Amino acid sequence: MAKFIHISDTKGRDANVLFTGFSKKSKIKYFTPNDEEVQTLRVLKTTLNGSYEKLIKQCGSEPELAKLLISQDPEIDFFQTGLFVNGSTKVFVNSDFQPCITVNLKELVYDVQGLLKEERTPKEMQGNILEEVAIKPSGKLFPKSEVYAKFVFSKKYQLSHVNGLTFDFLYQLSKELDEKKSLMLIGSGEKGVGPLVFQNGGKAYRAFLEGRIKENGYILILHLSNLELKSAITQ
Amino acid sequence: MARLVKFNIGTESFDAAINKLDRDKVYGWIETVATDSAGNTCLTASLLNDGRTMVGSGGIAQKTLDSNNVEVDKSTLVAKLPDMSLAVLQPSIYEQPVTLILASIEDLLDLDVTAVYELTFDDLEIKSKMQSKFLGNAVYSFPFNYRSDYEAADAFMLFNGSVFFILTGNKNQFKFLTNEISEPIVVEETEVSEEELDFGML
Repeated sequence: MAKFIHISDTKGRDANVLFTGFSKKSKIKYFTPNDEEVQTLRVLKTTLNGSYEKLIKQCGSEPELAKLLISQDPEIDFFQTGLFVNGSTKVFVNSDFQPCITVNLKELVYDVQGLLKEERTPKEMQGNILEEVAIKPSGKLFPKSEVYAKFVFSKKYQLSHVNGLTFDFLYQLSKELDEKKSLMLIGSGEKGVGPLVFQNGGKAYRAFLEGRIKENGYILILHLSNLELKSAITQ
Repeated sequence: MARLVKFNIGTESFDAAINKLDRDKVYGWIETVATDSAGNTCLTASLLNDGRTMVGSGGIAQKTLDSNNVEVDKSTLVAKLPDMSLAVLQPSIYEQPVTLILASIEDLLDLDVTAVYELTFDDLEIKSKMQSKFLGNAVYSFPFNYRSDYEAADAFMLFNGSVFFILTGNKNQFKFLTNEISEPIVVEETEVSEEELDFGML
């Protein structure tokens, strides 16, 4: 589904244009030996009352838990086990397995070696692609012949026009980048070097624009990356 | 000793091990800890849509069912393509040599990367021989299956000057966008007297 993004070009002109992501669906379908198509559904195995965590607390030891499992089948809820699950919400429960009304969240930041570097309060990222101030090109160019070996582009969106004026706007931007054979860093903030967050609570990404031109057509791609191509083994 | 994958480039073969790379290994990681008002650590659970049933970790399973909602043994399933022909199992990269085909940087830039692997070599001579195939920013593409599967991921191999990487994922087919106006509109100057502009009729 296409969504809007507020973007400016290298001349400082800005517009709301559409961006679209692509997801590949599997072509393979599975059938029973009787040629009946199968479906995959989420099924309830056991409720929190039948979970290992609750039962081990109740029994005190694994041998006691084993005895209970054999004698009473407490891990099976005969009214609910096997029901289809069509949606759920994440909740926090306390040591008595009751929902917590107040929860304090803390982030523990570890380095590559697994050493605790920092403790901090989590900060929810706010979406910044449709702000009053448009995201803008930073002016920093990365030649295609170099950038492909620097960053991992895990996500891509194609930008598209919504009318004749935005066609011209995006075509010119694509043409400029196509001629330079480079990707341009684009982002939030005054210099256009800040990360992009596509929705509240979403991940932050560095973004790069790539333009391609063929006759009267254009392709303008927003490449997103949160990982550099660095060796983890030598580190 | 790590399992090796045999890569073929032209008539030459190169053996290398592949090691998965992710953010945790490059930058470290973050754990979120929740505590209740008494300072005790909380567990996470799922509250089902009925608003009262709570489910712990591992309490929900994905099941394959037939039209009567009876669980089906996955080993009996038959995989088919959209034209209803039987799908053929593609081998794992460990099962047979992988042939690399020269590709363009733009092909690589079309890839939505889902996994990254770093290559390591038992013999550095193999690495230096392989480097000679990656001169002039050469990149290679190939189908990738870590395990045998009916569908292979798109994959590219590149060299960044010191390390070989494999990027796997889905290659997008971007389409060139054009403006759908067939001809530019030409505005011709016409003579209109001001008397013709009847404001009274508005």
